[in-house]
Amino acid sequence: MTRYVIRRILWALVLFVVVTFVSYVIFFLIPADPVKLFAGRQATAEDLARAAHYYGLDQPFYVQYWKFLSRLVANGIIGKHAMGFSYANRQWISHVIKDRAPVTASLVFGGAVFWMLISVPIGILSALRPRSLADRGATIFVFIGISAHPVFLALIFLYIFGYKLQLFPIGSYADFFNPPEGQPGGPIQWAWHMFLPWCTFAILFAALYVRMIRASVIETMSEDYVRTARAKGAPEWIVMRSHILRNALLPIVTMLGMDIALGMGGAVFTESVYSLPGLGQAVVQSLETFDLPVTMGVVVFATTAVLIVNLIVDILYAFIDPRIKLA
Amino acid sequence: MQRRLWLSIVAIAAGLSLLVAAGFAGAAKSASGVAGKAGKTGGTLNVNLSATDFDFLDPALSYTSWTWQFTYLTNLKLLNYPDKPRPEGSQLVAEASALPTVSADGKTYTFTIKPGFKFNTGEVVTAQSFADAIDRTLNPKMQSPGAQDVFLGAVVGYADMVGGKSTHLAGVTVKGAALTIKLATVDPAFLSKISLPFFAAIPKGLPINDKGERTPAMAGPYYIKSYEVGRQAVFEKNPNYKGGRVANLDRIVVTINTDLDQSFLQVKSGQSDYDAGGLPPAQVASLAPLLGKQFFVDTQLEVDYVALNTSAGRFFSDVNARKAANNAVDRPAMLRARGAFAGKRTDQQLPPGIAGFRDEKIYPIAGANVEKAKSFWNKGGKITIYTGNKGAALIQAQVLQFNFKQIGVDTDIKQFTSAVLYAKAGTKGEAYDAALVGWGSDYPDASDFLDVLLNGQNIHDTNNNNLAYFNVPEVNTALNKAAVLGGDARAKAYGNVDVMIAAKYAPWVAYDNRNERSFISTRMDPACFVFQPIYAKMDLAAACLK
Repeated sequence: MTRYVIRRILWALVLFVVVTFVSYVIFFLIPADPVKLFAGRQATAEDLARAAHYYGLDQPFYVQYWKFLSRLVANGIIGKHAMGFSYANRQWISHVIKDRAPVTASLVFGGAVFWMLISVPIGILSALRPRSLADRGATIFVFIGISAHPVFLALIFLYIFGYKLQLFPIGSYADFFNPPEGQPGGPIQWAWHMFLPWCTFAILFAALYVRMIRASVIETMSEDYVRTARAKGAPEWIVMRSHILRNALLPIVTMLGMDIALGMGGAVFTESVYSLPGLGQAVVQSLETFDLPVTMGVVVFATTAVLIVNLIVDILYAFIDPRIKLA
Repeated sequence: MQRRLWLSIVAIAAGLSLLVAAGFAGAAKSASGVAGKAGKTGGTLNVNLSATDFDFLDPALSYTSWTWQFTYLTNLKLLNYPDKPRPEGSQLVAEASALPTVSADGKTYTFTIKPGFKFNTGEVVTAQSFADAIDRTLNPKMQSPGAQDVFLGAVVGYADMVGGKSTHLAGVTVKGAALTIKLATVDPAFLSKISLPFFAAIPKGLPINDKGERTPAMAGPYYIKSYEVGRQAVFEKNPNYKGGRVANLDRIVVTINTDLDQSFLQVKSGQSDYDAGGLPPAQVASLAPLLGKQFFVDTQLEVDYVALNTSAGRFFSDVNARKAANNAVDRPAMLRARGAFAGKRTDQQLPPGIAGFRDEKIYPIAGANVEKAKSFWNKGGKITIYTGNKGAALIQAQVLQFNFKQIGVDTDIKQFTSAVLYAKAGTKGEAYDAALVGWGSDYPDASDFLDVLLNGQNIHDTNNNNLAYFNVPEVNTALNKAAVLGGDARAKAYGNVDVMIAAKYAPWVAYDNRNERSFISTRMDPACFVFQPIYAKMDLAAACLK
């Protein structure tokens, strides 16, 4: 187990360096000059040279990348100065991540709860009654969920449930803890403000999971050990719980870990439409303003999160299913 | 197994509790939807700022038009633009200082600070408050865009200051209530420049910090109560303000980074009162019936144009090709791409509202004149057009593509994000023929358009604003002569150069002066709507609730 974990961590470090290096190189290949953000749009060559020198932007990209990595190691990923500061508003990136990560986490983890709450019962029901009305209804849901873009769904939800029916706020975010002065906050407001984003975010994944769960349950139901359990006279709910679901949902655990990480990418759309001040919104704006440090900060954070989640899932998977060897 | 079952139950319970909580919350009221106190004065205005955040609220660093709309609330300047529409709103008037006395050689300005101004902390505003602001902005440790040579480059000691050899600008002296600024060379636009937000009064000891101070004490009619980056800013009336500017509202709460479409719905439903980030272009036409009640349209000091690359060897190095382009482009179609009430058609470089502008009929602005265009150019050819990748940029490039096709010129359109577009087009030698760009002035003077954008002596290797690479000695000389003039002579000289450039050399296809389109909620009193022409936005200090 220890060797496996060490090996995974080493691979994670290699992947981390590759991802950050490629992101860095891409920015230097784009012919835009961040110095203008400091020096101003009417800056003379002298103005620009001064600003570039002050911030070390006149150095070759590999020197800047090395400094970036050194700062990261010296300060630790969560250190105040670890990832530098935004070119656009000069905020420390650690503050940007600290302020915005909880919003993205609210969306992704809340969305994951939603999609599991939707997909598990529908998937199982659909598998137990194949080609029934419920199954066909589930198939329609799957088609809609996979086909409808989150931005489209979000706009429809906002218009109907926010603007017309006034059941939910039209966008905006309420903090779980410490809301800004005069703004709504606390768990109830938080859940109320997040309800539509969760629904929007969850539908695509729920649709995919319904199909996965349905297929997995149908496949497991035809296994020999299920037939044996029934032949031995085990009650149907025990067969379902202990023999079918236990085995059928195993691959879903792996998928869930991967998709939560993947969902951080999908969060960009949902955050933008619902005005959620999360990492997705930050990265979209940073790309528009050519704000490399913010983009890098989010890349570093997301890469680290994905690697950690994957590591945890792999270890959990082995723990849940003793048949899996870690050698 | 027991443990997993337990975890499942907890997860499901958590999910259900959130659903239940959300259901109950539906009946609760969001603070963003709570109405402020009604009346001509007082109350809270809820403002959205869609798709962006303030760059800084620190006066030394803020350099975006949307932030300046808000720092106009908080800044106390030597001279300022009044809270009035055009034309009064475009004229500098005394604010913290009386109008300055100017020496006979035009190089020494003396401002006398009026008594009675205080920061929100109670600290008294003095001449030193302005000297400190100038020093702080020019201090290289601030890395302020206000330190650009174009602004205070003419003041004695500028080079030493920005070069780090001095921490005080030698040309600025304080004696009692008098603030004296000495210039090394005459700069007739100096008063416009010293009235930029960078040089607003700051309190004693405001730290030199290149990250900016988030809530510096301010001496304008409002101060910054709180600012949470990316989330919210709150402005409240400065209790110590005794100046002459209006301040109708008690409080302005700005929700940052909202989405343009959902923000529009919020204003429509009264959950918010105004979006400083703009309007969704597709929705503007539907607001026509509300014109003058909830919807207002005003011209900005801005010009949108197609820069024609006049560099040697490029297609538009031939003046006849440029004149053909000016006749071939369908300006109404270009404007329509931005939605209803998007702007006013033009064929000149200077926008109306800038001193010296005179409206001349040089090229067809009611539509393309293909025959006339062909009379200038019938040799065909192929050009590369650079354009943006947001909003109407692609549609406008396609309009150009069609227009050029009418005179036998093929086009290749290349799209970039705004930062890349300006960086590429601003690099001398870049292989493009036309670029769809725009310019809004930093300060209201013709030089901030013509000198910056069309004086060939300002062409560098990179970071060019002269995207037509237009370099004609006759024009450069005329611009240099105009730059040292003052008053009416200056305005007239720039006006003449403007017309000469368009008619004789046509380095651009200028096609519109953009409108600011403001939509306010029914909570707001339309009678209080004032468009501040210099900041090209609704004046929030003058705004009031019903």
